[in-house]
Amino acid sequence: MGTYVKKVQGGDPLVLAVSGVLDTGTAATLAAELSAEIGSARNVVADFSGTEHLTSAGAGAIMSVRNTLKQKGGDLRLAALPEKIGKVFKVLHLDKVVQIHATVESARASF
Amino acid sequence: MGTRGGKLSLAVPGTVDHLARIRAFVTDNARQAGFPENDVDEVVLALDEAVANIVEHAYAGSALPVRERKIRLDIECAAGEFRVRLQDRGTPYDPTLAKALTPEESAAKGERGDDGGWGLYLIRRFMDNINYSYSPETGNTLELVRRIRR
Repeated sequence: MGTYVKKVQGGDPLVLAVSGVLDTGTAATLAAELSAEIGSARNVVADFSGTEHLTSAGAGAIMSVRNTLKQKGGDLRLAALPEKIGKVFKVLHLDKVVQIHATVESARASF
Repeated sequence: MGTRGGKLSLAVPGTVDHLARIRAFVTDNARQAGFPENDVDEVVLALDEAVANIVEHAYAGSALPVRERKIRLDIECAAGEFRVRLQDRGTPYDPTLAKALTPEESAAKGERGDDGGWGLYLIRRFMDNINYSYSPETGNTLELVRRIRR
């Protein structure tokens, strides 16, 4: 259990809650905590309902972790993004790259 | 719209630990300027990205002692514009020189798993004007401007 990432549900896909302030000061810790919780899992749903603030550095940490999952043949889906958090992914056109779901249930079912 | 035409300043150490303080300062002033909450979020994000660039590019390799690495923000709200001037004494760094990404390039960076390089894209998207200047006396000056639309 970390500061920014907590395991919500094990299995396939793994469900992780991502919360707090994800900016240039915390992005490296976010990436490290995600990697630690993911371990050998390949398919992950990230629940963003507790995320307070996300900058391009935070989005970058997410996309970097997703790339690692893709290399293992898996994927990362984003779920329950507060509006201003989802806006960052949309403005950067990352919503065309990573699946963004309104709910964790929808994201889990998409695998 | 807030009719205060005053100028407010904040000076903080140029480290990531002070981003929260900067965000709070910009949030308060953007709200007082009369921006709707959605626009406040955008202005705060643009400033967060700009300050992150200063910390990472202007100060990271700077010969200046850490205790002297400060960032100063001056906010001026007048004539329908919200202006934030950022000054630092780091290595000359002009963020406006970075190549502008196209939407396709932005998405491609994400597909590759890049972990950064989008800061200027967000600043340009959320602010109306970006002006940069440098002098040996004052260092880097970056001014971000957003019109306060009614």
